[in-house]
Amino acid sequence: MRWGLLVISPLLLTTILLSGSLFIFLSSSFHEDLGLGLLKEEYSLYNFRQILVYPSYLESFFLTLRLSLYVCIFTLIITWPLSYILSRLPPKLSMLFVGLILASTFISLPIKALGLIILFGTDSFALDVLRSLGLVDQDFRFVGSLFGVGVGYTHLAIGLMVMMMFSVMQAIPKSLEDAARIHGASWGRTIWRVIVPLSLPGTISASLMLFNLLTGAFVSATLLGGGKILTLPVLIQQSIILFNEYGIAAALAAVLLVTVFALNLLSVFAASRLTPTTKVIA
Amino acid sequence: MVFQDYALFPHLTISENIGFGLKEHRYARAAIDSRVAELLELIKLPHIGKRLPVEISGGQQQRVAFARAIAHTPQILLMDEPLGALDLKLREAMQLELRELQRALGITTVYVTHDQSEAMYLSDRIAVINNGQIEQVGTGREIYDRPTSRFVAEFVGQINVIPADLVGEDGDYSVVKCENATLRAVKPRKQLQGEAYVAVRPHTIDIVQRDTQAAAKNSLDGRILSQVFNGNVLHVQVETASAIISVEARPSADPLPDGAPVTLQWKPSDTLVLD
Repeated sequence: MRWGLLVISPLLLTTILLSGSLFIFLSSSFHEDLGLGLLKEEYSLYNFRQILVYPSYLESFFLTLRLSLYVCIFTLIITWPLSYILSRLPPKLSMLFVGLILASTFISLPIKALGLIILFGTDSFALDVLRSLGLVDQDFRFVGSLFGVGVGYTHLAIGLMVMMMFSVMQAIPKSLEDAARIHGASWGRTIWRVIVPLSLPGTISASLMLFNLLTGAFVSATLLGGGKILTLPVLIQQSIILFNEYGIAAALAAVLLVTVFALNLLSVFAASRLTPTTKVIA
Repeated sequence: MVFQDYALFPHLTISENIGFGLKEHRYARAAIDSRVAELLELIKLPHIGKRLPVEISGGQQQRVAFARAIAHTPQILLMDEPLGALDLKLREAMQLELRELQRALGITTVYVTHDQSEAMYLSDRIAVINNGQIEQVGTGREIYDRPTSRFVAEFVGQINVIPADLVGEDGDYSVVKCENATLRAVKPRKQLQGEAYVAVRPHTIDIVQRDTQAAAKNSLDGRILSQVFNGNVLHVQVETASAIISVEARPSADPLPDGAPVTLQWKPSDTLVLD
């Protein structure tokens, strides 16, 4: 039991680092920027008013949410069946594939993004092929387009999502499927009546985690957006690095934080209403 | 089919579980409801329909799994070690219940079990399977009294197996030799020659005083190695020239001491020859 005391110091350290920096940063959202990184002494809601007044801020805000949502949905469509199939493979084979996916998620984000830039850069072979096949317009640019950022997001999302969904799917016993099949359910009906409801709570929480991650995704958006796709994290970074406006940056971060938090609460609430048996499976 | 782990759908209520197959077979809603109610009545759990599987006990889950399996009135029911996860007392109670239900419903049932007494208790016919191969099919009585292989003999109940040589025939019996004794045994169904095993159940052997003659019986001389008193039986290990023989004797008022020289006797009709 005494050993339990040992966790107190890392716990304290984490709490101080996390909440301390968060508090200091977010508190500057209530101070007007004076330029050159200086803030006014007195408290005001000036920064938040700016966000509401200038359409570019709101546009960026909704772009972030929309992009995250679309990528989240698209990733889910790909990874849900993929994870299900992986979980039903022979253990050695599934461990091999999951291991490969795990390894790919360890690759750092800038490298992933730069890889995509090289692959789909302005004069890249892949883009030439796509152009000559008529799949994209002649003046299509991958880097700096919303599509490019979306692909970058999806690239980082799929690995994480497969890992989360794999454990969700693996927790559903195979015997339940056998039972459904034996009692007359077709393959499709088995998926619909057994796998979907049993994986729903896990799917919801995995999707939420991914969505939260994507709203804060910054590296892919910066590198693949080429400064043209201004999601909130990019905007916050620009406000700080380029303009030294800590106040507005903090206000944007606060808005993002509160919105994402509220969306999460809402989804969890909605999910618990939808699936009264969530607690049973969890 | 009834699964070893029951495989009840955790997200569906007991009624929905039992009605699962009926819904897949497109029964009308009213028909499903009445059939489910009937089945809940049958398994003597009429009030649990609205509960979830986690909210009922293991024995109840077992019964629900059974009800779900028979809901659509299958022609053949497969039960894969259905009582394996239950504790001994509950298992015995469920055996009784399953036997009654099965007899009442008259559904041909294939019942997989490792428990030989469960197999004897529930079945009309038993197939003993070794490494995926059927070793013998027969009634419990046949399997126990006339096993056709060493595996079956040793798997079902206790049996002594003594290495021996098959040397000939004597009327209705086979004659075998082991070390310095000649024994008679029931003729095997299979044609056997030369090296074989003689098998005899512990409870068919009598322990008598050395040199008691009984011409019609098989006899082996030996020495008592150990004795364990177990209430209604005395488990005696007797060392003979060919093997250590287990005997289930009736406890007597004046027990023999360990090491006492004795003679074992049993009927040729209780003796088997196995390969």
